[in-house]
Amino acid sequence: MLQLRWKNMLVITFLVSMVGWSCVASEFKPVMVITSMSDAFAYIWNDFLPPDFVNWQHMLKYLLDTIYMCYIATFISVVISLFISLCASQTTTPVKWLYPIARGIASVLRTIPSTVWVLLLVVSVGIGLTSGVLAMILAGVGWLTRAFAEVFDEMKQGQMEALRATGAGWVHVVSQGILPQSLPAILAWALYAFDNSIRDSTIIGMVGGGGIGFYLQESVKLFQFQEMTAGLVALLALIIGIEFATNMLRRKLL
Amino acid sequence: MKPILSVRDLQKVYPDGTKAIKGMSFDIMSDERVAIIGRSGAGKSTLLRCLNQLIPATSGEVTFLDQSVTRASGGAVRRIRRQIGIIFQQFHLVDRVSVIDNVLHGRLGYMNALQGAFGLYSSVDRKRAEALLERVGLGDKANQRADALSGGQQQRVAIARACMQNPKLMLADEPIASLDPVTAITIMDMLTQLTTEQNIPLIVNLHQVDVAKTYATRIIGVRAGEIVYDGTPDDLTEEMLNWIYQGEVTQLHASKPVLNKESHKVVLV
Repeated sequence: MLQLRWKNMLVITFLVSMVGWSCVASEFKPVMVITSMSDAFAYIWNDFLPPDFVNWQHMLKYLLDTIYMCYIATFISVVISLFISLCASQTTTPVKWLYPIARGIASVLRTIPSTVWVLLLVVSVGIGLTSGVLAMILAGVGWLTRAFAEVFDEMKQGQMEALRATGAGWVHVVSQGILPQSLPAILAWALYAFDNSIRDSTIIGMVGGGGIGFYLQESVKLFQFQEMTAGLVALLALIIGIEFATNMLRRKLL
Repeated sequence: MKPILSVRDLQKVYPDGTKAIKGMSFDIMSDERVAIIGRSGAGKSTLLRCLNQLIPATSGEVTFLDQSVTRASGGAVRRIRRQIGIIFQQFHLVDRVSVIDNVLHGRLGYMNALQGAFGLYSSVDRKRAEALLERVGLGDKANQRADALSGGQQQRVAIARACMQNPKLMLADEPIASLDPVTAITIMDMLTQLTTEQNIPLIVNLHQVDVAKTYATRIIGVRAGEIVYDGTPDDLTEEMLNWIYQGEVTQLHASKPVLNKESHKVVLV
């Protein structure tokens, strides 16, 4: 027992000293966080509040851009994901060798976050909506493919077997059996993807992908902090609104 | 008369080494109603699925209307399958889709990818599907979702779907195992009537010996992947049944159902 306690003590000491070392190495001063807290709040209070909606038309344009972006991106990534995911599920793949390829594509796309995609695309495509939408599609396809493939994996095998037994080909089985059976799940994931992309769009815009994030970034650069807060408030309202709407739709579907 | 279906030395070994079918041979004539009986795991389901290549056979030969099923691939498999109707224990309807669409699925084997993908069935097919639904007593359910139907009703839709294929052979894998006794009789009646009318053979896997004896003109007893009995229901002795079932004979009814040969209706006596 004594030895065990010794081990525990050693581990705890190690973990705590690592925090200390990390602070020293990164020049992060925990004391500063506490002492400067009041300053920080005062700064936020004085410079960021109240939100200034004077540029509301400008802001609204970016907000609408965000919705359009997300809608296009979600729609396209759902369509692409459907095709790839049919190959990425062992139960629905038309030919066995397509399965590892589809899985591979999805894994690669999934490991790269959308922000990194924007950074890459901004260089090649340029700053703006196009890069943002493309980044959202690439990231969306990554995880939607996996989600859809899991839906297909869980499909009842018997129904597909029965369709195949009538002499139906792969296209028939997919269109007449698999898609109608998994439609509610697919739509639920699509709504979630839309929801997700709205949230994602802030940071995508900030690194050059267009939309509301771009507006926020712009206001900060121009020291228009109160306008930025207005943007944040609008964004918050949008996120809550969309989440509410998609939740309601999803509940109706399932 | 030439057999509709001919099975020679059929063997099936699953990847895990299980020998499901160890060399079966038999011929099926157009006027036959064959019941395959045997315990669960005896290889009945595997056998049925080898007949239309839902499961590929390991060796041996299945010939259906002079075409080799075992050696067919791609489009040839589809052309064979569309001429063989099959009924499953769990009905296997696409249950979020309407009843009439499920019946129309029986035509998919005759359609190209595009027509089938968009469900562009001909008006002739639609009329026929309606007539078939009427025939199985579900004319009023055509536009309901398949999952709104009871088990027996779903099985009737599955029969209509199979008939929609204009099959030259009807297979049924434990078609009544999930149904109550009364519904079971309706389903067996329907299968018997429809196949007799079309003059096509019926091969049905059954658990219940009494039902098999009532409906079948020929019984094939399967034990551990081998045919141990092939003959008329009348010649099937108690000893043989005990051998097939290893002492576990399953009875569906306390009373005995008897098939009236003229009306193809069953009465309990």
